[in-house]
Amino acid sequence: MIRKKILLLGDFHVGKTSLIRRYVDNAFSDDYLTTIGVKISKKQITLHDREYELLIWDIEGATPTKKIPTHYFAGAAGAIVVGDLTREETLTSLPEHLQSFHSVNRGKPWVFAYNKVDLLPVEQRKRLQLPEWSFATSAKEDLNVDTLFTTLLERIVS
Amino acid sequence: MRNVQRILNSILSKNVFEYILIDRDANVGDFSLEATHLLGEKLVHGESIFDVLPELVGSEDVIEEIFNRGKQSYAIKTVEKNGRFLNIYLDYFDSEKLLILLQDITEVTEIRRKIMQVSNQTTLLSNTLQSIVDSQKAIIFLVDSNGKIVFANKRFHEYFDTDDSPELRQELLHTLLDEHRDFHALHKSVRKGKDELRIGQDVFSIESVYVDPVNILFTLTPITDLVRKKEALQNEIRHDPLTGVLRKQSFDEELRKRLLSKRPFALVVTDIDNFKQINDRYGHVIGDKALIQFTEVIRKRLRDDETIARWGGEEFLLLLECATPEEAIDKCETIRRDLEQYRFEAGLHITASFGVSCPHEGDDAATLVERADKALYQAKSSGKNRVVFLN
Repeated sequence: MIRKKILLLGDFHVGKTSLIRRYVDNAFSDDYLTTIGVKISKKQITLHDREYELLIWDIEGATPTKKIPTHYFAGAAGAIVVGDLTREETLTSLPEHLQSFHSVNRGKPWVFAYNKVDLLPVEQRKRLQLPEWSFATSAKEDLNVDTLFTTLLERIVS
Repeated sequence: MRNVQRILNSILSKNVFEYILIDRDANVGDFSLEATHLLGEKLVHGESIFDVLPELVGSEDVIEEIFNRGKQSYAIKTVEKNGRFLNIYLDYFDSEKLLILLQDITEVTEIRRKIMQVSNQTTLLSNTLQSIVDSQKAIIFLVDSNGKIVFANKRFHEYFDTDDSPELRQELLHTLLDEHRDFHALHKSVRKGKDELRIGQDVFSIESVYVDPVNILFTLTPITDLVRKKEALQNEIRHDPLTGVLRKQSFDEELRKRLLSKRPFALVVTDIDNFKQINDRYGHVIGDKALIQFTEVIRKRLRDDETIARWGGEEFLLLLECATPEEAIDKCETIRRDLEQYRFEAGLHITASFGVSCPHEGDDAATLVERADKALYQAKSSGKNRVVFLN
């Protein structure tokens, strides 16, 4: 079994914990509970006939007054950088989070999650144009959550 | 004994309660009994620490470095595990062992979480309110008791071309405050009913309200288009659509004002001679064009403070500034000659008759108009194309 440490980064209340809950426990709750520090969840996955154990680090989100502490980043194989499609400022900070991740883990793969797509009107959903390695996700509707994690692992092992 | 002292020192220095020793292969050695409790996992001698503390996966290089360099320490802080919050410290123990110290910080972290929860929810609410305020077309800003703008919405910054700094340029305040000394004076003025504010060419409906005992919220809603439309509509109502001169109703208002002003003036009623024949012979299109040209010729001789209005058909009214009746008569003669010499549409030759009157003590508008109209009648009946003054 190969262990891989992956990080979930982004501003507060963008749905990092919900994405992990959906991916690991196939569950969702609308209740918001702020993540403090870090919480690690495990998920076993088979990819190209190899067994992996993902150690998913749910790291507390950045707030206007506090950035994400980078001491959690050491040894990470990849990162999922999450933004909330309903809050513009969380999307504009995506590159900043990625840069922060790369400052510790140079050149390591990543994917972007444009989360809470379920809250967008249908017309807006259709018009969405996302950059490379980005997914419109919804933990609530279980949309693209598996794809998000699998794509990151694909990038890590390729 | 020396090792026990080392553990004790580490515990005392960090206020840490539980420990685990691991070897160079990261396998579990000795550990305190309560460490199992904290981790919620059974610790077994010889098993990999990464199985019970996956938080250390990715820290392999750090562990090796601590062994190699000695005395170095490493921390992963605020880890949620087994329903508790821990700080995990890695400390050099000896050349064969590394000390993992587990500090239970659940109590303080739960308090921090509650504070963060409230803070984050407040930020979200604040952001939502900011988005609502920013989405408004109105300029919205808050002024404190010192007259300092402490909040302004996006439209404010766009309109006044300022950055997000609440310290706004002094000249901007002058623009905004207009003739008012400060924002409190402006507020008082609004409370007294001054509900319009003009900034350059723009017009705003202004509202102000104390949102608390200290801060005044100003809302400037743009109404420039509305005001322009209203002015255009008023203009349309006041003016004759064909010639663009005042309508009789608007002229009557002007006349009443002039009578009240007590300044000398003359009222003139003028009528195009034989206009019916022009319409009959050349048609109404040419007739209308002649009327427009007729007013244009007269307007060229009028001062800005003099007035022309269409009474109806081919009959017009003039208010002329004059110190004496003779001045008014001279001016009418000049206009009469201008008309006589002007080449109208289709080469028409047009003349006009003028009835002139000046106000007497006790005259009202109707009396004055009636007298001028009588003078016009005399001009017509005595051969047309002439000016008659009736005192």
